[in-house]
Amino acid sequence: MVVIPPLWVNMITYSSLITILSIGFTLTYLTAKIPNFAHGTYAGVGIYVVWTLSKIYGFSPYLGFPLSFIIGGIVSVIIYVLVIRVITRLGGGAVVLTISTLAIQILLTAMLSIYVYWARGVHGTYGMGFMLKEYDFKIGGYSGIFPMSFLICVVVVILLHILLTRTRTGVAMRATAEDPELASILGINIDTIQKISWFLTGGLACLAGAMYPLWFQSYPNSGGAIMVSIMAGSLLGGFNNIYGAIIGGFGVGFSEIVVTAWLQKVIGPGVGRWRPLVPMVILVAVLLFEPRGLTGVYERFKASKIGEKAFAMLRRKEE
Amino acid sequence: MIDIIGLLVGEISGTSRLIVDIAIYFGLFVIVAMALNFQYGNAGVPNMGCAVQVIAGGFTVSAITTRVTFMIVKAAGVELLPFASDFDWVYNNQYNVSVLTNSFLETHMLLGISLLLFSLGVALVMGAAIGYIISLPAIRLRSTYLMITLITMADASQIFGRNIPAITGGTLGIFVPNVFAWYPGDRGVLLAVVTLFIGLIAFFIFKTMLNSPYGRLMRAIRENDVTVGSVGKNVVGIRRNILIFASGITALSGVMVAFYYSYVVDNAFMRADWTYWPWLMLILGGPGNNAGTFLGCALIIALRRGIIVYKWYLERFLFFPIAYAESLILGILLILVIIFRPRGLIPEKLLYIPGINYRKMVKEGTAIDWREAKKAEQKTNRSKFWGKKERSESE
Amino acid sequence: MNWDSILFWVMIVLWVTMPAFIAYEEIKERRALSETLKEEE
Repeated sequence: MVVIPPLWVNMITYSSLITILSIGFTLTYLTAKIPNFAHGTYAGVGIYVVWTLSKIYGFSPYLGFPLSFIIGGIVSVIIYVLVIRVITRLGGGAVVLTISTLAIQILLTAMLSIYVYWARGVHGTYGMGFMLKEYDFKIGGYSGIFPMSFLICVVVVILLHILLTRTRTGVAMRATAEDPELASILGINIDTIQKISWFLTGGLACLAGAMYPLWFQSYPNSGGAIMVSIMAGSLLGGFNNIYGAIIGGFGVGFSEIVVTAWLQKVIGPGVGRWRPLVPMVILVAVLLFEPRGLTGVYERFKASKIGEKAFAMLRRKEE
Repeated sequence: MIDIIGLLVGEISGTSRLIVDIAIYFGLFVIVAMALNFQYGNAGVPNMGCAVQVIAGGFTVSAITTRVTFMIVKAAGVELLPFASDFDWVYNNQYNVSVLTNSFLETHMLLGISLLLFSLGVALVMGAAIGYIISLPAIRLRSTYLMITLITMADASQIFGRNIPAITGGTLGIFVPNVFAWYPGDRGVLLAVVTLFIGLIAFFIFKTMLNSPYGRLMRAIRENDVTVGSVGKNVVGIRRNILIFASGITALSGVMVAFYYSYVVDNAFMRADWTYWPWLMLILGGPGNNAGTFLGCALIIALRRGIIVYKWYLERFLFFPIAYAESLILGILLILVIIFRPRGLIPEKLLYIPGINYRKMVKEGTAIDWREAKKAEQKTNRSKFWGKKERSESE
Repeated sequence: MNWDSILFWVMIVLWVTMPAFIAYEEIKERRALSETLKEEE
């Protein structure tokens, strides 16, 4: 049996979650052209769906995954219809929409807190700071969530790729993302496509959120707290490139854990408190030096002398 | 009214205490809101990290003023507990401040006042320094990226504050000497007076800057910074100056917050309190003019204080604690204001430029007539909202 | 001397000055604007 050091287990689980969330965040940016600050809070909704299922009704959290996907999608579409679509139709700009997503984050977090508070009164369960690790199954000594999270991440990526490149809906989504007016001339119903994209991102975020309490301690504010890591992951990979988000998500997740662990060895155990600083530094550094993230680096490389020579060599090899 | 007049012989309590309370919070927030108006309403810099500017002021008080006070007090002969190392700094802090320093300050009025002025001065500088730091990455970025960066930096500063005990005592917090200890009566009123006075000064400063050519330059940058850049103005430098200036003034508010609570801890400067509520005040009142900011601030403060005071009454209907209700109201109000009154309650008026004949422009078809333009815009907005049936522009 | 009440009234004065000033300025400007618009008719 391969012994995987616990650091790697931590890294892969955390990074898989962050990656799913980063992909969703990038998807929102592609379709709605705004960063969705409430994205992390959709994950929070997922956390509490699973909590309700497990702590109150006693089901296994894994049953909650598809349920949270659906609930997340529905919540996301409702918010789109009630808030985002209204503001866009009234001519709001990017700043105003972003502020509205912030408002949604505040609203959702407050509603989650209220729900937890209410549930404590009605069902007597404690929802502030809980973990569902004991509901998990074990594979060879490791918690089931470790391979499951990675597996789900891979499956999501593959499905998304198929959706976006092979299906008509996916192609319509990409067309809308690139040029909405042209897409509507071609007969694509922009509103339906937007609803589908929001459903997808909401569902994905909730799915990631559903996995969160199986490994980490969860609070109503957990969703908002990882927002920085999500944004860093998305930006690192390039804000409008889904495949970049994969690399970015894993990059940020790995860095957070590796850098903290390494610093702890070098400087001392107190460094753990500085961990939230790592994604912040990555975020600011990316925006300072290469706002398009790794995609920008890739483009620059392609356009540079070395890149041209490399690609020419590759092309010649194919002939 | 009777009990207010009766104040001339009495003490501050009851209704008048409520008024003083509202006045203090109003003073604190109006400074932040006006600075935010300066940055966003006039220069188009969406500073979503204004909590960090307030924090700069607060941390100045906790880190610098307290130490200076200790040093002066020690030099004057009062025996203080040791405060050199980090542990002692936090652990001995309460006794040092509440018992020893404050009793010293009670007898030394001049020292108290000079400490206050010193804090304000240093906070101005520190605020400007923070403004410079946050302007470094943020200047070249546009709207949404700018917002992301600024929010991140505000959170980062909270982490710094939480983890470096020398600044603000880590998670335990630092007590701050009471620079108004010499005042025989109720501290709150004096604090309110000082805060409102600072607010008045800030108001005049902002007003002068906004009505000057510099103000016109800021508004031009807000509308179209590429054009302004092509005319030869250093847009990046101007934005940086605006951030620095606004940060300095916001830090003054942070100082007064620290003195009001007599206690500084990083959680006291929550993002929600010092960034989101000021933004709500700004948007509600109307970005771009001071009157709007003022009105928005007044309304929101009245709302929040009203909630807190009538907590016992509200908790009968609401089954959850008031803190969540405040967040709910914040979120809902933000969304409602954006949808229904994106220009705010007092929209920005058209700039009057002497020499331009508006009538002639309207006749010649340039769409600058602000009365007609507004009505036409509302009509198209309304039709767009209900459905995309009318595509014809009937102007 | 009851400092508290004196300060209280000072506070009220300060508090009221700001909006009074703002209102005064706004009304002056809007009146000037409408007057010039009327002149140009």
